[in-house]
Amino acid sequence: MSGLMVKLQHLVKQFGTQTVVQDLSLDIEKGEFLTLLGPSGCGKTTTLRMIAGFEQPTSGEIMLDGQYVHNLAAYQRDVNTVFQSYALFPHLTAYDNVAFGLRVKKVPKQEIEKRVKDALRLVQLEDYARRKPDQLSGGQRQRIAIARALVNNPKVLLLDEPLGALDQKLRKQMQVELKHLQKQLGITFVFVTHDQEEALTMSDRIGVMNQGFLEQVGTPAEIYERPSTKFVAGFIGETNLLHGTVRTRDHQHLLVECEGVQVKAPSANVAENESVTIAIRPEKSVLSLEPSHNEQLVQLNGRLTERIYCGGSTRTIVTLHSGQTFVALEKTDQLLPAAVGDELFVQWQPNHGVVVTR
Amino acid sequence: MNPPVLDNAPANQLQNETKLKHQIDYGKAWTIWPVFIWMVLLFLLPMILVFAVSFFSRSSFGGIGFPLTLENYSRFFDPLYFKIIWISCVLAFYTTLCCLVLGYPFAYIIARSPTQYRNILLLLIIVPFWTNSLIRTYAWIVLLRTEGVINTFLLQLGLIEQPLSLLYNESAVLIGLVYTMLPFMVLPLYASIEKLERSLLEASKDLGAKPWQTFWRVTLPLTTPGILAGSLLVFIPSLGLFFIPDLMGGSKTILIGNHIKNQFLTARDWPFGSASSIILMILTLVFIAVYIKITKDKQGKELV
Repeated sequence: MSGLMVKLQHLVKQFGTQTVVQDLSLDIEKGEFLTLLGPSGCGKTTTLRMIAGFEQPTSGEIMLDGQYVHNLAAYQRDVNTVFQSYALFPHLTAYDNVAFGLRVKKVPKQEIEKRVKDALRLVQLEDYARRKPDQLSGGQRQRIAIARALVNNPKVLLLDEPLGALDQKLRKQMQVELKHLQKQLGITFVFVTHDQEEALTMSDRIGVMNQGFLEQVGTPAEIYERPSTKFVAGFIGETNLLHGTVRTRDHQHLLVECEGVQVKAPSANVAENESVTIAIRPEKSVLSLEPSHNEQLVQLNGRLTERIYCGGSTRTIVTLHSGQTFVALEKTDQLLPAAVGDELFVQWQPNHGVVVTR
Repeated sequence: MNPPVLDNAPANQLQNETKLKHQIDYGKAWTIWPVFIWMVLLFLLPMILVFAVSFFSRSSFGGIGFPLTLENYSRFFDPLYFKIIWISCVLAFYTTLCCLVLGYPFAYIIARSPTQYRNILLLLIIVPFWTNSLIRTYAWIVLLRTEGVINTFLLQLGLIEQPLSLLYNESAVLIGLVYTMLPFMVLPLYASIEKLERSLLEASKDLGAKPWQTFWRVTLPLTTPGILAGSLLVFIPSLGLFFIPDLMGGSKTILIGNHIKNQFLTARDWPFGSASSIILMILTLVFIAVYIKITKDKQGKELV
């Protein structure tokens, strides 16, 4: 990671009266795998399309490797895109598809041949060079699309939900392959997805977007462990959100009143009487039939309402006395001996909760 | 995942299929018979008639008489008639070319305009069809003739001193043909350009292709089906249209269509007119065969 590759400064994009991207600023390092994650319609694809040059920002600037490019046409920018639908040219063979970019740039013939062959080898499809796109499987088309983009040695590779059309198993495999490819080539990847698991497993950093705003940027661990907004906490993985008001605070802990119960939470930059939300991951909580006497634990009381078998783990849904449901994760082979309707206690370490204000 | 359900599914499907078959049989009959009768009465019978007449001789008063002969066909193998065919083909070719060059941007703009305008623009292409083509051809004569609108306008502006001779030559015929045939080019072109996925054009741009490179390497190859279909739809009728050369070409330009019309109406030599018609039709079939060959080859290549 040496220096900046992409710099987005106060990007705004409006379609008619609708603002799709709102004042987005983001720095992307050289060689970084950055994922823009968010629900559909959050503006992630529009942001990617602005970097590619398919959309003009309404205002704001885009810098690519030290040069402003927001006024350049797509074909003048040193970036390449892997499209959601792959957008392979149906009238050209796999080989000609990959060679397309080099041919329009008038690269010498021998060099084209060598580079296309290398690119096809990279995606392990040398033997399919003569096939047309409609004779390739989804996964193969995907690889050709990647080869077609990479063969141009772009400064940044933009990927717009490239794995969306693949089945679960192939998707997992391509996630690993893409990640390896990126490490091996050292090219900056900007990856757009709505799949949080994909984002967590592949990225160096994730930018979470919601309704045109970039909510949080951070490493997968930061995003998962320390979400800075309610939206991020809820969107990435499963989370229990407890809403309450700050009652007292010291330098270590907050005491938050949630529906009449005092809940201890890690200290945060909040004032007394401010409304906050505490986020607790299902796997951070423990279920118990007996109340704990450990003063340090947060403990809530409820009734088991449902158990959902998920293979190795089981999602246990507890209805708290406040009426709110709380999801806990149990190991299937170490289930608490409790049946639906039984009273039990949900416990967690105060500093496993995350306090968010927005 | 229940085995009984899985077993049931194909059985149900089979039942549905047999039921459908029964229904479709009625539907088929009702849709095909009217078309069949129409085609036999108005296409096949006249065709057989023309084919039969082409083997008779012309009788003294312009009727049809014996003996049966092949002379009508052998008469056609005369340099004079070959020239007519050649000129017809050349003119039809230029008509097709002009329609393509004019029609492509037309179709492109319509296909790429916002959806709410597309139907209106398409309608504008079709609206002239609501007026009889003969009347539209006369309108062109009003524009082009020596004392016509264009000449009068240019004379009064002082741009020319002598009226231009715009009418009664081959270019006038070309203008008339292009004008009449343009929609037949635009509509198939529109259909194939509209089908063109925008993401392919973006992919091309993304890979560094300048606009004209994108056009040449992506748009054009992917719209060839439309180009071929449009060309066929323009070329073949252009061979046979007789009233435009008649009205706009004066007596100078004789095309195959005029020749046939003259044999039937002026020379009253129905057998020779029929033989010429059959020859024109064979020529047309050859062009259609070439078209099918080209399009098949394209599909074939995609499969290899």
